[in-house]
Amino acid sequence: MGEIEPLARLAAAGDAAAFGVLVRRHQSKLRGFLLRMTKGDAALADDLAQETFLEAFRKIAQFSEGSFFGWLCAIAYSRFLMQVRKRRLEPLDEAHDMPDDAPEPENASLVRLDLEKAMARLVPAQRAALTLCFALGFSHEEAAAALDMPLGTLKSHVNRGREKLAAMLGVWRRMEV
Amino acid sequence: MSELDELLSQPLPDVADGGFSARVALRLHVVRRQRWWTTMAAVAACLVLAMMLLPIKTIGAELGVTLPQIAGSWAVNFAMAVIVLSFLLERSLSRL
Repeated sequence: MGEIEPLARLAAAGDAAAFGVLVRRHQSKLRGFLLRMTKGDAALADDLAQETFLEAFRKIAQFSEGSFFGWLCAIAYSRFLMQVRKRRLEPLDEAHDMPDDAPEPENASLVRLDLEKAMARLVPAQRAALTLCFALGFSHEEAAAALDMPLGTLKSHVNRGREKLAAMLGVWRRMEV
Repeated sequence: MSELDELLSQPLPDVADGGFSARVALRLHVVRRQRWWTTMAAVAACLVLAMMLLPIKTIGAELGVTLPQIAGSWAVNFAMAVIVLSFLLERSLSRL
């Protein structure tokens, strides 16, 4: 992810067509990331993705190095946090963590839904850190840069998130049996 | 790698474009058009302001006297020739 994508370089030079190709190339992954961040709210995820691309277009001259998708994720995450604060969608830190409750029985056997349900119970920073580092294959350094947090904080979000997920999924599977 | 890590490492499900890129392109077009009009309005405002504040007539009269003098100066012509030749040389060297 060290080299700048040639298309991003063209877009930074004012080539709108190149930016259009970048949108088509990255929209699926970005919307997937935002879909997880918004706990499956597709309308909100799409609004945030559109705003992210528009902001990226306005600020494209500021993009100088690294992964273009990482840069998009940084904008998307900051937009997501703004929405969470504005609409009071969910608590941002663990002091106000939501209580764990059991999954609905009809979904309990579906591992993917279990994971999404468990992810939805994590605080946004843990959800974002785990998604970037595992599902999207970012290194810890890249994820820390995208989420604008120190490396140590990112690692602690990853570890804490994994512990909580393991506990939740373990409990749910025992309930299933 | 643990079972949980494997589960977490599964790629996110693909999200079909479904006209999303076209909607973004449309909004980008609007942004570009707004930016163009804003720039044009700013340039026009600056020009109007300049016309109102600068003593255009006096400057024009001064230039009418000074420019022919500059054009006839051997030193100025020599300096201009040096600048042009340096520019052409630099361009041809950068192509090598």
